[in-house]
Parts: sequence; structure tokens; C-alpha cells
Amino acid sequence: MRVSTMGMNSQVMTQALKVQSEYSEALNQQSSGTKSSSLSGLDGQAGVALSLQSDIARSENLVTQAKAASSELEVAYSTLSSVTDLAESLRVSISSALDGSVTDPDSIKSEAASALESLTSLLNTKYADKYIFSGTESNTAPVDLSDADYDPLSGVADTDYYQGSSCERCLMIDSDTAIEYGITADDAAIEEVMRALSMLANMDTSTDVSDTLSETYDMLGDAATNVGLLQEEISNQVTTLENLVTAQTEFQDYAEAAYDSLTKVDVATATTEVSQIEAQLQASFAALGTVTSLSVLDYL
Amino acid sequence: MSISSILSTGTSALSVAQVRISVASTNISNANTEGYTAKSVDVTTRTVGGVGTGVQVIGSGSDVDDHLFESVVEATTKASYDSTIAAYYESILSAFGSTDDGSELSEALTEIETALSAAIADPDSASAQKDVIEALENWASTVNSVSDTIQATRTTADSAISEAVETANDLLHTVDDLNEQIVVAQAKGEDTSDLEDSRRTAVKELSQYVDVQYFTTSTGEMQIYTSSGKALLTSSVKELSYSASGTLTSEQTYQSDGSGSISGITVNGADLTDDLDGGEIGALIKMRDETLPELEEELANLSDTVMDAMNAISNLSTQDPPPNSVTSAGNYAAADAFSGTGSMSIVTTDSDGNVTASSDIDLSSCSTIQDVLDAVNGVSGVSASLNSDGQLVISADDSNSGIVISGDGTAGTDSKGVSHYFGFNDLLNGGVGDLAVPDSVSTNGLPMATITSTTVGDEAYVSGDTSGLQDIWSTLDSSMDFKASGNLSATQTTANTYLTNLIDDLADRSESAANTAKTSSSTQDSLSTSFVNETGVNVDEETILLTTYQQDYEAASQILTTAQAMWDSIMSMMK
Repeated sequence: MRVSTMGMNSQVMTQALKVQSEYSEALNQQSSGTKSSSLSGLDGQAGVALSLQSDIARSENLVTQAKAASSELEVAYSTLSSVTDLAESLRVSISSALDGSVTDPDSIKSEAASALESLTSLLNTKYADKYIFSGTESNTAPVDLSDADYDPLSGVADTDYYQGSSCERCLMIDSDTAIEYGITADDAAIEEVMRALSMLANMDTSTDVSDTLSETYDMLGDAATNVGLLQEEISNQVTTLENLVTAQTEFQDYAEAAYDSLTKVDVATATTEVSQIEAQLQASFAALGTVTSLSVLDYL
Repeated sequence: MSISSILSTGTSALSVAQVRISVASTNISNANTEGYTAKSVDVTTRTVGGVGTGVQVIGSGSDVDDHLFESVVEATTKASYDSTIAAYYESILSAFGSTDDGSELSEALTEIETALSAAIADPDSASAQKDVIEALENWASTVNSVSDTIQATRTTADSAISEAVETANDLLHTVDDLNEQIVVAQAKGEDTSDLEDSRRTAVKELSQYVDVQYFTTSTGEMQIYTSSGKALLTSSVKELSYSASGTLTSEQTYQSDGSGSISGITVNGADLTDDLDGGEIGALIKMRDETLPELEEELANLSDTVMDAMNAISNLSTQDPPPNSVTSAGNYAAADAFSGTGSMSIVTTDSDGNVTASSDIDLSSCSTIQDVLDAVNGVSGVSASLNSDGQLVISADDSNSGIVISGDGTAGTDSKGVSHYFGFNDLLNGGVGDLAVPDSVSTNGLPMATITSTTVGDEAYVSGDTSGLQDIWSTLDSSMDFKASGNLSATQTTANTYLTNLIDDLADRSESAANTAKTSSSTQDSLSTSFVNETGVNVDEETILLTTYQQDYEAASQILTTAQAMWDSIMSMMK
């Protein structure tokens, strides 16, 4: 086959340039660690890569929210422990009064009044600047004993002290699932503690208070048990959230690995490829050198 | 046979050697000239009366395989078309995302969900609500900016068409000039191969821009036509004429019947746009009129479907507390036709969200917007009017009251819920390019709670209820009905999946366009190389020939010397 000088030169040069561009591409892969900066260089997997990316972002967000909810629940849990402590310590005082070792009911009255104050401030606990017992109305303090409708002495359950929302906070998992979490201050157990304390704080000590004492003793005992159940509910909620966090974290690990396998190059492979292309490029340049230095004039 | 005939034979050999040396030198000096073909000299024995009396040149020129050149021209057109398509795909793909940064659109969608879920967990937080509005605004501006990029790319293609048309015209004129020179030279019997080389180079260059076919008449004139047979160069150039349309918007299109706002590429007033379907110009037209508008359509489908799905849900909910007045998204004139069925409940609430009054309007009795206005104005304590922009405003007369629009009524051809139809509680409105969050969202707040009752005395909604937001969140995470658009078929999927499908499809097309471009470019390379190898100059070959011709020349000189010596000896003999 006949070749022309320009044809041969330009062909050898084009080949060398082609190898050079492959070399630069391989170097880019080696230095950046990614297959290609363009989505068209992911072997048709761009959609999967993007889906994974957004799945990871959503999962991370879910984990952040679940963790925040979980810490809030832990604060609620320990607050409820204090509520139980309050109830229990009053029960000790009441039982002392009932068995006659304490004779001054006024001391119980004042103890109950201060316990009511403590209870109010416990339930109005803020975490991260949010009232945690108000349901979805986290800017509103849940308990206001001075509410005009509130009458704890009526003898029936009354939650009119409660200012928060009847709706619980919730965490969106997917289009069909939302986890509701948190405890609101209008829960029956809390109302009962509140009512018992109010009854004690408002009792008329000039009369026989033993009925009130034994009634509130039972109420507080019952309420303490129910607060314990509330705490159990919180524990369950925390466990659910923790399981969610674990599952999501595992998913993220899997998704990140899958994402990396789609978009990243194996460093060892990339390095080997660079040296292979480098050798090829040297050969191309050598060919170019031979073509340009070879002349028939040297032999005529 | 005389000494003078020997002299004449020697002289003819000398002159032929000179011609050959001259041609070889020209060949060597043009070894690297683009399009130059190696020339050779044709010689024959000069005979007088049947007796050889030396040698003579009968012509010179180059041997060109016209079929091979035609293949080169075709391959050049295809390679140019494919590489332009690939370059535009790659450039527009980067507007939708990259491997390192992901997709901004997808991030913006995720951000809406993230912000909504934070607001659902803590609806009382002003910053959480603000984050939702910002996320919606970010989505709107991202959609708009991708649309802007698509239109900017169309604009670039459009001005590139105008430049390519200019270059093509210049090349047609070059061929026309060369045609004239070739016809004259050929008539005189002169060698035209160098002129033909130049003409071939011009035609090859022209084929980058336009898919052409050509043939040469008996006079040596080359005529050029488009692949569909429309003349571009006959005895004179049929100039292409095109002026770019400036900055393009999605409304601006080219229509072959001339109804579009983008003008066609014309020759003497005849529209040739559809005939120019190859080469760079063909690729640019395809991008401007087909591929990019399709992408815009897909983006619009995504944006509209997401907007509609969210608005449909948000219009079933109310703010907490309800606003004193609601404003429609659309603009109307009082006489505009209206068609609806069912009823629209106009509910007023007190500051605690309890229903103070509720009236049902029979929508089937309204046939114009004025009828709707009259019906609403018939409700006591409520006024309706069109504001200066033509928006329908319904407000409670008592400034402490809230307005809630509810009811099972539907309106319009696609039977949207009546509040959705008017867009009283829209989260997004406008189309791609001018997608925006209505001002009412920031002034009235987010639609948080679903409407639970329209009975007087009841709560219209549960305070602190976030089910409105939850439904919007769930909508974003659920399948939506996407109609067929652009390159994507109708499908039922989530917004994010539709978006990733859209980008995946674009990335796949970009990748395959790049592969096609690679193949056609190497086909063109190999054909061009074959052509150059077959017709181009080989310097070594010419150098050897040069040496041979030099020897021929020396030998011919020897003939003259010998003849001279013979002459001298005769002369001395005669003395």
C-alpha cells in the first residue's frame, strides 16, 4: 500500500494524540478517584447514582430528626422520673400522717403546694427552646394552672390546665408511615397527679383531712404507676427511633458503597491503567520520532 | 539520421527531465499542503515518420479516486453532525447535574421534603416554616434556572446556525470562483489539477456544515445541491440567508409553515430549513428545534406535575389561624366563563378557629366569574372582588375573622377542587421559567391543618394539627401521574424517580451520542487518511524520482556533448 508523507505523519501524530488524551483521562481518574465528572461517563448508571445520592440525603435527614426526637424523649423520660419522685415523696408524707407519726396536716399542704409548683415547672420543661409536653404547639407552655376553666377540686378529671395541642409530634418515614412520638401534659396519669396535688394543696386543714389524705394517697399511687407506664411508652418510642437510626445508618453504608462502586474508580486499577497507557504513549512518541527522522536522503 | 536529429533528441530529453524535476520539486514543496495531490508528468516517444526522435510531454496531472473522495465528503458531514450533537448533549447534561455535585433539582426536591418533615415535627417553629418556604423558593428558582440554561443553549445553537450559514456561503463562493478559473483553463487545454485540489478542499470544508451532493459538468464546472436536491451552486451561488433570533424563550419556535417566531434558512425566499438536515447546521437545527425543546417539555412536565400535586393537597388545608382574606393565583375578568359542579363552602372562623358562619354556593349555577363574585357577595359577612391584577379576592368583613374555602365543588375542564382551581392556597404557581411561590404563602403561612368541619360552632380545624403538611410530604413521596412528554413515556412514579429517569435518559443519550461521534470521527479519519495516502505526496518517492530525473538530465547532456564531439570531429576532418 502506498502512503503519502502527510498522511503518514498526520496519522502517526493523531494516534499519539489519541493515546495522549486517553492518558490524560486516566490521570484524571487516578487523581480525582471518580470515573468521570460527567454523568454520561457512568456507564448508563447516572439515574441509579442520582437516586442513591438523594436516598442517602433523605436518610441522613431522617436520622438527624430521629436522633433529635430521641434526645427530646430522653429528657421527657427523666422529667417523668422526677414526677414519679414527687408523687412518691408525697405519698411517704401522707402515709406518715395517716399512721399518726406526723400530726400537722399543714406541712403536707405546703409540701403539696410546692410540689404542684415543681410539677408545673417540670412539665413546662423546654428542650432546645421547645416545650416538650405541648404536642405540636411547642411554643406554648403546656401547663397553666390559672386557666379560668380549670377546676381540680370538682372531683372529676379536668385537663383544662393544658394549653398545648391535642396533636402529637410526628416523624415522616415514608408516604404510608409516620411515627408519632412524645407525651402531652394532658395525659390522664399526669392529670391525676396534678389533681391529687391540688386537692392536697387546697384542703381545709381545720377539718378532718384523713379522707382526702387517703384518697390522694391512692390517686398518687395509681398515677405513679401510670406515669411508669408512660415512661415505658417513651422507652418503646426511643427503641423504635433507635432501630430506625440503626436501620437507616446500615442503609446509608450500603447506599454509599453502591454509589462509590458506580462513580469511583479502583485506585489500583486506575494506577495500573495509567502506567499501561504511559508505556503506550512512549511507544507512540518513539514511532513519531522514527517517522520524522527517517529519510531516504541518508541512503542516496 | 543526422547529428542535428541527435541534438534535437537530446534537447527533448533535457526538457522532459526539466519538466519532471519541476513537477517533483512542486510535489516536494507541497508535501504538507492540505488537499494537495501528487502530480505526475505523462510523456510519450516523439516520432517523426515512424522513427523515434526523442521524448515529449503530453500532459500532467493527478490521479484522484472520485468515489473515495465522495465517501470522505459523506463521512465528514456525518462526523461533523455527530460531534456537534454530542457536544450539545454534554453541555446541557451538565445543567442537570454532574457526578461530583449530583443534581441540583434532585437536591431541591429533597430539601422541600426535609424542610416539611422538620415543620411537621415542630410546626410552631417560625424558622421551620420559613425553611419550607425557602425550600419551595429554591425549587422554583432551580427549575427556572435549568430552563434558562436550556433556552440559553438554544440561543447559542441559533447564533451558531447563523455563523455556519455565513461560512457555508463563503465556501460556496470559493467553489464558484474556482469553477470559473477551471472552466477557462480547461477550455485552453491547461492543467487544472491544482485548481481542482483547492476546489476539493473547499467542498470538503463545506460538507462539515451542510449535507451536500455535487457533480461536475463536461466543462469542468462543479454544481452543488443539498442532499434533498435543492440547488446551492449552479452557474451562480444560491446564497443561504438566515438571521439569528437573538435570545430565545421556550415560546419561540421554528415552524416549517412559517408560523413560528424563528425564521427559516432561505434561498431566494424559499425555506430550506428542513432540507438542511446534515452536517453542523443540521445538528444545530435538531438541537434547537427538537432535542432541547423536548428537554424543556420534560422539565415542565416534572415541574407542573409536582406543582399540581402539591397545590391539590394544600388547597384542602387551611392555615392556623386562617387568613382574613384569600387571593386566587390566576387572573380573571368578570366576564370570563366559569364552569363548575357541586358546592363551594365559604366558612368564616373566629380567632380560635371555630366556625362562625358557613354558606354553600352552588357552582353549577355560576357561568361567569361575575356569577361567582355575586354568589360570594350574597353571603353575609363576606366580600368578593377582583383586584387590580384581576385576582379573585375573598375576604371576611370582620378583620378578626378568618376565611376558609372548602366544599366538594370542582371547576374547570380537568375538574380540580374549586379552591385548587382558583389557587387560593397554592404553594407554587406559574410554569417553568416563571415558577414562583405566591406571596400569600409568606403572608398567610403554610396550610398546616386539614379542614375538619364547616358546621357553625365546631372547630374548623384542630389547632396544632399538621396533617395538611403531612399530606403534602406524603404526596412528594408518593407516585404521581406523569403524562408522556419529550422522550419520556407516561408513567406513575415519584417526583424524584421521574427526575432521575429524566437525567438518566439524558445521560444515556449523551453517552451514546459521544460513542456515535467517536465512531463517525474515526470512520472519517480512516477515509481521509486513505484518500491522502492514495493521492498525497510521498517525499521519499519524489526524492528518489528527483535523483532519477537528475540522472536523466545528465545523460541527456551527455547526448548533446557526444553530438557536439561528433560535430567537432567532422569539422576538423573538413579542415
